[in-house]
Amino acid sequence: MIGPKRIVFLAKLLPVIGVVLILPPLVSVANVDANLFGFPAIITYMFAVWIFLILAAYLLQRKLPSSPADQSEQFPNKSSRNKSSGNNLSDTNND
Amino acid sequence: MISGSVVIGTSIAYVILLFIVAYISDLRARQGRWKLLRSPLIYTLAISVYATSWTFYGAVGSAARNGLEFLAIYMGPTLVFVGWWFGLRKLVRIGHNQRITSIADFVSSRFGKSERLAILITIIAVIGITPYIALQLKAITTSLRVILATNPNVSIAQTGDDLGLAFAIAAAMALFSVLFGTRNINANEQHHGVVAAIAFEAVVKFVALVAVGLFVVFGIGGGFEATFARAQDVGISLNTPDSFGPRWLTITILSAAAIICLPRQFQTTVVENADENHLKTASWAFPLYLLGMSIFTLPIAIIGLSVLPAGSDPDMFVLALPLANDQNALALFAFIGGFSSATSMIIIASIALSIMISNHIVVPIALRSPNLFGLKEGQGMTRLLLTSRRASIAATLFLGFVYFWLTSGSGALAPIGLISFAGVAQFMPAILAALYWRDATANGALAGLLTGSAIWAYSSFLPSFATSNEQIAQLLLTGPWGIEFLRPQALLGLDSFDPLVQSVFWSLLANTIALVVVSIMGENNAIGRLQATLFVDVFKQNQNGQRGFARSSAPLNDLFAMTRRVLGTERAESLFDSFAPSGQSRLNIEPTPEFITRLEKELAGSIGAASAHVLLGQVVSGDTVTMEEVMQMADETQQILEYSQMLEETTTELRSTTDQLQQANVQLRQLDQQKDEFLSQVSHEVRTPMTAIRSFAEILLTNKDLKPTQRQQFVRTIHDESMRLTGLLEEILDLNALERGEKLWANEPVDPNRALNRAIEVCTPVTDQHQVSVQLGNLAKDVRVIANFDRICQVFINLISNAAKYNDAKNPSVTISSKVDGQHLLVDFIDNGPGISAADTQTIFDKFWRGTRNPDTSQSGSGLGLAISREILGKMDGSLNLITKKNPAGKNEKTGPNKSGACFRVTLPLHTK
Repeated sequence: MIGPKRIVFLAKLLPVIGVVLILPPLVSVANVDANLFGFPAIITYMFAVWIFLILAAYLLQRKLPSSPADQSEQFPNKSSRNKSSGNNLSDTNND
Repeated sequence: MISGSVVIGTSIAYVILLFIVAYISDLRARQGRWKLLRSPLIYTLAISVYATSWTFYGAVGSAARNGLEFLAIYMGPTLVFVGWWFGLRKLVRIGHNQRITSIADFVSSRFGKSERLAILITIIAVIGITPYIALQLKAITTSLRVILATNPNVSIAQTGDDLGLAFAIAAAMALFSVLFGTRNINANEQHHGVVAAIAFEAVVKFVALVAVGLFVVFGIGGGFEATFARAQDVGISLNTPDSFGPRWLTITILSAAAIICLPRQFQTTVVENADENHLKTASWAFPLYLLGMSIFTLPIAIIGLSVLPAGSDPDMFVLALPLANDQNALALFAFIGGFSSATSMIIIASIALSIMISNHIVVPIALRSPNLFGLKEGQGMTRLLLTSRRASIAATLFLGFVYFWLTSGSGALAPIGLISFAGVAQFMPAILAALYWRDATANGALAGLLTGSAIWAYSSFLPSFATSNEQIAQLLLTGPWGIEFLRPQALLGLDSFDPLVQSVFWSLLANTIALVVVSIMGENNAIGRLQATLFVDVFKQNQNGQRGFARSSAPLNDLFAMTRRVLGTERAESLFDSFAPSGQSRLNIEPTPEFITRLEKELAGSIGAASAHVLLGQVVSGDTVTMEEVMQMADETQQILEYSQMLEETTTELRSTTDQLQQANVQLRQLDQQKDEFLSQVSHEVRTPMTAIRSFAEILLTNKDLKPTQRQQFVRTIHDESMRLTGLLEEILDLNALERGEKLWANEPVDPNRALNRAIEVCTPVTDQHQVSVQLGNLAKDVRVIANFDRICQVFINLISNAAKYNDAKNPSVTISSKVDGQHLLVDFIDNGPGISAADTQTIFDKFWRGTRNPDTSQSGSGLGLAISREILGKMDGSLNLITKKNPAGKNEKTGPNKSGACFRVTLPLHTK
């Protein structure tokens, strides 16, 4: 199993991987006049990168720690009159 | 062929549907049924307002003209969202903690609640978004034109020209936005009805685009592969080496900035966020949505180029392809999809801008001159806010219309949108600095924004009017005053680069440099430093939000009146009530710094941080906080102070615990010592008789020729010693049994005097031996106590023998008296001995305690006598106490500091008949 610290690190790394993948010179490798799985290679490449990023984000967010319950809604709206109990809940440092 | 009335009718029906969705959602929100409204799904769909008619129509046009470039518009947001942990999470957390209402509020709040900054950002945002709104108007107008052009019966004269159409659309949008965006002033600018409507629109436009895409690819193109096979023929070159050049990079950066900096994206992502964890879902679902919206873009462009007559507007392929194939229903659906993507953008953008305008421009001005705005009469503020927001929405849309008018004739949709992107991207350096750079200052941000937006306006915004304005066109060609060096689209004479790339590069570069240089040269003021810490270290704070930094000398009535002015009576009352101690009036609240801070935050939720700060500053008896006070609370100093305070508290706690522990330890040691002493004494006691028994037994065994009298004497000694041993062991067992709670006898009415006489009788050998005289004082007559005769005798014997054994007076005596006190009989045993020292009064009744003064060990007891007596009396609901001098119970024969003697009092319950 990958530890939570690694997961956070991966979550921070993911956009960097994305940037590297969609910018030259890597993207130029796929930018050739050829077909890949029936599509122009560059189309296949771009959408594959996109899907990879989405999948990775999906898998990562399931492992990432949740934020503490939200406290900002304590003050009642015009509608719901739940009494506010002050802002003494503490945030945890997930960083 | 679709008739105009069908199109208009469908559009109106669609808008009514939106109204219903928004209305029902507001109703649910008011009833507290949040579950669906605050789901991550709705949140993600609301963020999808990013996909406007630019995506719906413009992307195809962009693909037809520039190939893959359209993808860059989605790559930026994708990267930002899959990297949510890094940036968006922090943004949203701060948004919650600080009650951020808009992007202007965010930046101004971070930089010391600077008003100037808020105003500047608002102005840039309004100017920057104007082309974007115009884009939507243009898209709706053009699509309407395209769909009506198929109908030969409708002439231009009947529908009016484009301008009239665009104006009508702008007016209708303004109406809708006003109706749903500004009905009330919400706690933190969350608009549940609008968000639900936007989410609904996100579904509609998605389904519409996918429907058209499926029809185009499989109905016309014959599948994906066949479609892409046509790409080469129609001239879409997917493999130019330039595809991923500077322009690709620039647009990726711009779109990444836009997903945060566009006021409507900030509104949906940060302000409307109900739960930080919703970001988790959005992190993958939003990119997925964009992916879905982009799958068919290229195929539609390719088919459009190959099927439709040359010269058709590629921006309208989504609509034109179904129309050309007589798919009227699909065309109408596509039109509604485009319509919904345009309306959702217009609604959210105008609401977000109106909040900024009213909070950062109108309210500050109104606060400066309250008389002008009728604010003196209490209720003015709410009305002012609503009115100014409505007016702002109308103004924003009107500006969009004016831009549409001035730039009419200019080409494609995508370039217009990119102008907006480049405009709002100027916020990016300030936002990044706000999140990660503690030393960034308000002046730095101000300088950066001014420089960047000026360059943007000159090199990007201004040139967009070139098509309709001769002078501007001339300027583009020759530069101002004929200086080619300063041509807007070729600054410094660099005309080999794309104009957009240039504009973005120069403006962001200058923006960042100005921000950094001015920040380094200056210093944050106190509030700036405080806010910097709260923003940059948002994940390191134990406490939610900021501390009080307004002194609390504000008269509560003033505060209440002011709050009522801003929030309205109902909400102000419930806010103050929530602070009042239970059962007390809301006017009994102590205006503590915490309360003021909380109040400021709540107000900031309605009118923005800077305005709320000014407003409270006015009310809090004009008493702005001194530098030292702020400094104490700001920055690390505050955290260190708090930390050390916490440490101190902990230390005090620890110290008292240590003290207690030490006391307990001392007691334990004493007990342990007593036990040791007791054990050694017991061993001694046991050993002496055991030695005697053994030696006499040995003599008896080995010496057969003992005289019978001698033998008799030895055997008796053995017997006596055995008896002593047994007695000792019995006492220990007795005490154990008593302590374990066993009650070995039955209580019954007993004559205490008889027990006393019996005890004195038993004690005669001891008293005689010590020559102690036992005197009877006043005795209560004819009373009965609830007790056990034998046991009560045992107690009396113990007390008398103690008094005798430890009495070293010249004429030792013990006086016994008794009297009735309420429901109890008190029996006092007073001796004239040495008394009990103060140190021993605590331990005298402890097990194993023995009088230490008397070295005559043969006279010592087991150390259990008093403990047993007390246990026995406890079982009879009585007690045994040592009466001190200050609590005189009887007369002491002798006086003197050390010769007071001891007085033991036995308390027994009376038997009442």
